[in-house]
Amino acid sequence: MQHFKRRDFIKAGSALTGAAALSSMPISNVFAAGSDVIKIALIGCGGRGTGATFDAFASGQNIKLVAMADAFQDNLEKTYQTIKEKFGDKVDVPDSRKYVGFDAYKAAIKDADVVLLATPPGFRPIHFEEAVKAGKHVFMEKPVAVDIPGIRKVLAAAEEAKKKKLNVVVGLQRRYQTNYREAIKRIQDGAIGDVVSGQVYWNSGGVWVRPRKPEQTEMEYQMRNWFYFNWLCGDHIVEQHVHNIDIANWVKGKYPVSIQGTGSRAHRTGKDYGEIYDNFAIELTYDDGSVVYSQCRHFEGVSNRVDESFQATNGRAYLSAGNQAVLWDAKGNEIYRHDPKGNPNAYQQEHKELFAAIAKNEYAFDDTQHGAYSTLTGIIGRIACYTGKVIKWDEAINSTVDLSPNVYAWDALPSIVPNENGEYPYAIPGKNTELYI
Amino acid sequence: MAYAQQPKFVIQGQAQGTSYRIQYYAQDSIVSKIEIDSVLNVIDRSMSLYDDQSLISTFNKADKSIELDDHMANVIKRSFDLNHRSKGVFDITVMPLVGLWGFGPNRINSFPQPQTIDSILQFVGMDKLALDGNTLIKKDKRVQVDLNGIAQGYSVDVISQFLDNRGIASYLVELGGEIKVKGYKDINVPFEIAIESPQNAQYSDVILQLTDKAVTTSGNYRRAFDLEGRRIHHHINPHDGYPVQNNVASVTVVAPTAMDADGYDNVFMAMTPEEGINLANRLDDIEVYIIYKDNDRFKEAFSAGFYKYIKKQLTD
Repeated sequence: MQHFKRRDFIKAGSALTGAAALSSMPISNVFAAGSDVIKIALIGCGGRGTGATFDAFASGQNIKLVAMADAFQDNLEKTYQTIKEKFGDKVDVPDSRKYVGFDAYKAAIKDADVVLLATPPGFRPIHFEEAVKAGKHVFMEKPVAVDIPGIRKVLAAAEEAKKKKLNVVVGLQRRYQTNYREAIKRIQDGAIGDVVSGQVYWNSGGVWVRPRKPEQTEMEYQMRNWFYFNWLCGDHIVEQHVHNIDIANWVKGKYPVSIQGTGSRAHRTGKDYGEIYDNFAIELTYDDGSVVYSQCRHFEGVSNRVDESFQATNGRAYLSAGNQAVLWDAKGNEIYRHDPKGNPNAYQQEHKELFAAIAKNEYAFDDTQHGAYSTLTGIIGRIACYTGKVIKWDEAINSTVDLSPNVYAWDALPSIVPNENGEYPYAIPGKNTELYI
Repeated sequence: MAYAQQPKFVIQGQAQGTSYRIQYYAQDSIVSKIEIDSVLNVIDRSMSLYDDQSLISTFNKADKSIELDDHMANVIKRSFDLNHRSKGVFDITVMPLVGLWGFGPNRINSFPQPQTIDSILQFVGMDKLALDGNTLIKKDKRVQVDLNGIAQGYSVDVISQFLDNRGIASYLVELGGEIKVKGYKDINVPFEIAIESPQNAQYSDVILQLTDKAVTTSGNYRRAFDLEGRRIHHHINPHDGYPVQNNVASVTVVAPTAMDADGYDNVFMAMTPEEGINLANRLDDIEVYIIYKDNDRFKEAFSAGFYKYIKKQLTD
């Protein structure tokens, strides 16, 4: 695993991706010979999958949706109707290419040139691995895994993707958002000196709940209410806050060497909420002694905050997804303020750049490093809060705690099951730490 | 599409002498409070009567005419339209009368004199204004306009447009009680708005479920005072210059835009319940729920299509 120093980052960095620039080399066999239509498959037909498909079509390239896969027929049909209504002929998904079930992703991946991976993140590693094996370009949603074995699987597949020159974009859209690109480029060029501390937040209201229905098996219930089970979601510090954690890592140009923190299940308790926490506060300590504080919570009716601030030897920075970016010098004078108006939509931008490269047969994107390592940062943060331990990065990367079920089948049991009252066990710091690391 | 599986973000703040709350659903916090405040500041510089440098203040001080900005032009145009549809009940020139009756900066201790009312009526009425393109013209230099009866709703529409432009498909925007909702909170779960009952402000009797609509509630029970044994309400009749005396306690208006909901609630407050229901039934897309007093008991009246929005009605 590499730690980029700032100068190395600048040398290797591309203004476009914020990740290591790749040589733009032609790649072969992207499309069927004689056709310039890019065929895409959607794996995971929920809200984000629908959104990603819309964004892909907005890229302006000649794209056709040819296959869809979801564990659930109803999700697939609903999403199919929405996309078909909007995009008409660009949607060519007959019943024979609508795949349903746990294994549906394999068939859908075969049908396409590019796959959009938008299922709950618990499935991402096996889906990504399959897509790379099949030689497809990938857009995959964040986070890229929910446990550390999953991270290792993603990193291994990423090596294969590099060898095959498969473009991979990860849906950490701030990496494609103009205010972030412009401000962080300036930070890396030394505009405010060395970053010594920071604070990153994702404090918002919660998300949806899908209450249990009597006819559901345990597997189906957890798959529907997936946000509340770590083998599917990773807890909100991973599923959502990865965005802000990734900004800390991007600004620092490296990943933390140790993480500790505190969290709990304070208000979102009860049978409908699985095992996840509703608040985390962690410290990411880097090898140069700098510390970034990262806080996330899902409380109702309290103040929201989703943004990133950094303090450096020669100034400060403020960033947010609302197109804000401000840099100040050490005396508090503004040295850069990004114009929040007229910026491209970052969700569309990530697809625009990916599909432009694919259309030109270029190999230009590998987001797997920051995608995997920022996800890992969140996972370690979760584990640190669940156990109350200080977790070192170099030890965590070898963890064998695997959250996935032994069998993916509707009549099989996930690894976490409720007690006779319908309640799920959840982490209590200091207890049963071997379950988590 | 957009409402499924998306986190909720809330932005709260103060503007236009009241509070605002925006609840939106998106993958990320793509709208910030700074941006919302900036949008509202631009509207203030156009139509805030509390800013003596604003465009509306400049117009009120002017003798003849001014060139309107886009915001004020939109609101003035709609005001003429509402004035026509309500046969003059909606009127943006009533500010001098409203002040005369103690609802401006100065309180009053006795009824205004009829001759004072008559003299002010000389320059009240939207026939004293003309709009030529984007130029607003005073036909009497004493004319004063007050857009507070519609500008808050308009502000909600402007913020909604801002969220639309950011690709946000599910939201609730509320400013000073003017509300606009779009999309759904969750799959098949619409936004719910409770209507405050005048009988007991602690609970509401009617809950509305709305999608892609605006709603507002106006109530006499809020802005009124007693003078010489009579209850004086803040709705002043622009035709005769006197506070409206009717038995309407509150109206709730559902409309396609918050500007219309805001504009029409003043109209329905100034009419009898029968007149109000008849007007709503004639207007496309405007529905109204009226609470009125009849022999010391509160009663309700609904326009023909209002039932579509009601989730449930609790009884005492």
